[in-house]
Amino acid sequence: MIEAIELNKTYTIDDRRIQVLQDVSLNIQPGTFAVIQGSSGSGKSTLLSLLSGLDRPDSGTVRIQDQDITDLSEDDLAPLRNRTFGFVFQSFYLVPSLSALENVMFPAELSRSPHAAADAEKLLERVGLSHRRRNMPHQLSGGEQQRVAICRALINQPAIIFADEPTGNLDSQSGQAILALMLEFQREFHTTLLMVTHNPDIARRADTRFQLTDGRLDPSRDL
Amino acid sequence: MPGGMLSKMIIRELRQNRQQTTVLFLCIVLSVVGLTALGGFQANVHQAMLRDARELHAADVIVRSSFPFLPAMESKLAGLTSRADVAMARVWEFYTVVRTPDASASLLSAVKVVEPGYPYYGRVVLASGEPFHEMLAPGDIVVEQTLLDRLGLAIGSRLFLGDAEMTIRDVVISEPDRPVTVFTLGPRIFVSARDRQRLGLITQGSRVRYMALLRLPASLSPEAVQEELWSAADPTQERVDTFRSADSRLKRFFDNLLFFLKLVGIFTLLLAGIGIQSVLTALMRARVKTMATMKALGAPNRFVMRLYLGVVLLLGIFGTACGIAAGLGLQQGLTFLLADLIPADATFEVAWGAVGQSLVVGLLAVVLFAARPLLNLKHFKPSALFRHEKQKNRWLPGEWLTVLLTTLFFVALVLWQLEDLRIGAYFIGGLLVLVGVAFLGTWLFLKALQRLAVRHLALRQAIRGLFRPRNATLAILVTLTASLTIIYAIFLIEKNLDATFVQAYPQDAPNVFFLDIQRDQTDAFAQLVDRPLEFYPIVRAKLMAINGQAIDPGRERQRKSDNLARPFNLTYRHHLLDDEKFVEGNTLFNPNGGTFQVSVLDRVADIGNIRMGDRLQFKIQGVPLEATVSSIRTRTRESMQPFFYFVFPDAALQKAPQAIFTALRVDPSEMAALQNRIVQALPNVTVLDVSQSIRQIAGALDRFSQAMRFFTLFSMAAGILLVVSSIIATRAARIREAVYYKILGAPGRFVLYVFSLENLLLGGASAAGGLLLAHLISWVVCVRYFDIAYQPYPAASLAGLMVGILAVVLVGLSASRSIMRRKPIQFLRAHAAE
Ligand SMILES: Nc1ncnc2c1ncn2[C@@H]1O[C@H](COP(=O)(O)OP(=O)(O)OP(=O)(O)O)[C@@H](O)[C@H]1O
Ligand SMILES: [Mg+2]
Repeated sequence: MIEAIELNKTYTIDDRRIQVLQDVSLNIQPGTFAVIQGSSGSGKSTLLSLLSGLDRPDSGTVRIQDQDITDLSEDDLAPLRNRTFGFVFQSFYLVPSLSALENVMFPAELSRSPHAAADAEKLLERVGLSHRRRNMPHQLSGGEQQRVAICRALINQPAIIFADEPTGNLDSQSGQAILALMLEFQREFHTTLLMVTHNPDIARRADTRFQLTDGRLDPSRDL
Repeated sequence: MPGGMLSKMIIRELRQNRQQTTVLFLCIVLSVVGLTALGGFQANVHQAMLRDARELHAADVIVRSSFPFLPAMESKLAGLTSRADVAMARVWEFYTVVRTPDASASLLSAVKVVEPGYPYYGRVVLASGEPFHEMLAPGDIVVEQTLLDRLGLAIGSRLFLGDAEMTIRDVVISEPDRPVTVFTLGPRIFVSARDRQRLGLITQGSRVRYMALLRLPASLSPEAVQEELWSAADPTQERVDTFRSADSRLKRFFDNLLFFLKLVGIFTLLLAGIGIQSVLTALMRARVKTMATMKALGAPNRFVMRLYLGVVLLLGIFGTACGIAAGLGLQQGLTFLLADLIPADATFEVAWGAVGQSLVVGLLAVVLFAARPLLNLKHFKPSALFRHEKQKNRWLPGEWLTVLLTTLFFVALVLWQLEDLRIGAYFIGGLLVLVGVAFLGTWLFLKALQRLAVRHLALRQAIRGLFRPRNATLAILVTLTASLTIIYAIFLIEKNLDATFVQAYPQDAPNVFFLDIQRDQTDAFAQLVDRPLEFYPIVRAKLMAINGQAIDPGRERQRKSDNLARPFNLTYRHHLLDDEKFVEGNTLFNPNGGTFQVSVLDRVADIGNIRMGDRLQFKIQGVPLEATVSSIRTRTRESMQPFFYFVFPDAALQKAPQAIFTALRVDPSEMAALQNRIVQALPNVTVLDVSQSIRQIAGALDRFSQAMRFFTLFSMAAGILLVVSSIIATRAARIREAVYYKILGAPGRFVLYVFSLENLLLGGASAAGGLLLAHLISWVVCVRYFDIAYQPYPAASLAGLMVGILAVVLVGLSASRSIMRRKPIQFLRAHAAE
């Protein structure tokens, strides 16, 4: 489903090369809930961005549903991002000029779904935000924004959801609710959920856990 | 706060926002360059014109007439010259055909008969270097080199002027008052006044300009003397001018040019100033979080303020210096461009006054326009870290003050530059109306857009983009509209000035005139020329009254344009010319209207407020003639073709004393042969070969229009900078949105499409609105101020519209171009959570 082979990523700042990821290989089964753990700065977000095609590795290969996406152009990646992937980030990345409903609808509209609006309304209803659907992002609380972002990630029923600390900006109670919601959807749609988190409670509920330490995958913790 | 830290942060601010910094820098440079170059150029020309004004007229006070002075004037002049310290010299000017003693060659020449005092100011420079009046003994003449060349003569040769045989003694290099007439039809011949009677050419009825030049002592003001002479003058034929008031075509052109350039200068400064303000505002808006964080960490407001004050001052000082240097360079180029048009000694001088002025004005502009964004920093509270929406700010007293100061500064600048309270007030009022209308139009446009239910996804996103929070679309649109208006207006005004003053001399303009053809010679003449011809009979007359109300010569003189008190050339015919059409009426004359009807050209109808049915009273050599206005004509193009204000039916004028002339375009190679044929067959016909003059005029005006166009470009550059800066202002928001679109799976072309549409909306609305307003403004300026006909130039307007839209779209897209291909993560990290 998601397969990474010997991924390397380095950054160069003022002639100094920093190896952020070193020979990272992993394999995630479809329909499972996987978690990437690690201390701050260990390279979790970087790994996620490589796996989801938001960034390109220096070397190594990323395969999604048996398709090599490593060297795909931005335009070739677009349909993949639109239909196969869903993203949920720590800071919610809602389009500021669109209302809650329009944000959710947007990916469906891009793929010309005729029932984008109806689907979006249904999703917002499920997360209890029907009454807020006309609000603009800046008129929503953090938890509400994240729920909108989750709906948006789900509207095209993607095969994979990438989530980078989706609860990181929320209080623990809202965080719990968001997590419950994501797992609920994951089970319902048999989605693969790959989540970066610090939170051990969340990690414990995962099917697979990866531990990053200084850019290397720690095999001992790989279940 | 440690200074090292501060300066490091200033440098970082400058480096991190390279685009904004560059635009900011260019804005400052441009505002100063404009002021320096224009100010210096103006100062040079102005000074030269004023310093030379006395020389240009060779006297303090000049009395002119087309007839010998009347007794009242003569006695006043006698009274004046009885004072020991007032000197007077008479001058007579006329054209005559001179010929060689063997009659083998002849040439139309401009004769100037002068009394010994002439010129009181300036010098007639001779090739020999000898004093002018010593060479101008009785029986001697001084001529221009071209006369020698064209007649094949040399110094010492003899020449017939009228009945007198004269000896050519010297060659004139320059005469001080020549530029006033600018273009003459033949080479100059100077004759001493003592030979005046001998020539026998100055008689009643010949076309002579009678002049009296007066030199006054310092104790007598020229204006007072002018006033005194006026009281004795017959204003229908005598004119009294001081060297200051004397109008000349050149001066009028310079006045218009300078006024136009001043407008351009003011607009450049204004546009650049607004550019400074909008870039700074955008720069700081993009830094809300940074500044809020700094404040949250306890950095006092002072620190943040100093940081940006440092940025502004650094750029301000550097930009001003560069601007002045570039401005001086430009000024030199400009003076060079116009070198042979500007009075000879108006060479390049560093006008230090102008440099100082632009330094002060430039820095003041930078500080004032930067003040509001700087003061605005106070509003950036640490709470911005938690809230995303735009904070509704109450204006601080300091902000009100800067707005007030900026306005005052601008008003003062306008009044100082335009040097005319009334025009200045109109100008400022007009500008306020412009901004008001632009604001209102934009507001309505945005309201309408917001209401629009659009199904098309990309278009909907584009419209939504205009309303994204913190996106000052209204302000940007108003700024864009206003600056495009100014660009278009300057463009249109320049085209109209160009058409009036420059294009009037096209390639196919007539280059030779035949005067004094007798009525029974027209057939013979037509045969000699052997090509289609239009004969124009002319009857000299004066307009005495309109509907019984007498023309007031005093008031007429005040007009900038033509005046009604001067003698007019009437004509008679029953058809329209090729370049004429009716504005009112559809025949020249009413078939049942009788003999005494007149068709009037719209230009003179406008001046005299003449309407259909009005009664015009003329006097033709003492004989009164009254006619009713039966139609109003207009000319469809400006050209060198002769035109007539007043056209009568044949019956009305056929019997009046008249001359007939015609105008032709003749190939230079055939010119001599044709002239000879005509002079031999019809010796009384005068040939005026103006090809030389036309070439001169065309060349001169061409360079003027280059100067105009040059400064026009300049103001356009400021406008374009403003477009760039307003679009950069929305850059951060666009980038973020583009990245979100990409993460959600939108292909690059979708992003491109959305932004193109968004820019198209911005560009289309502002360019269309701007063009509309520009036409309004240009029309007012051309018709009201310059007093010239207005042409709308639809094709050029359309092209301008397209260019405007394209510019906005391209500039806008260039800001989002890099997003398309690069990986989203780079932007996500950089713009996260802003
Ligand atoms: N654009 C960049 N240039 C240079 N270094 C970078 C860049 N982006 C990330 N890094 C470095 O790469 C390392 C890994 O960053 P990454 O964001 O993947 O960490 P992380 O594990 O997600 O940490 P956190 O839990 O704090 O989010 C960090 O040390 C960071 O400093
Ligand atoms: Mg991270």
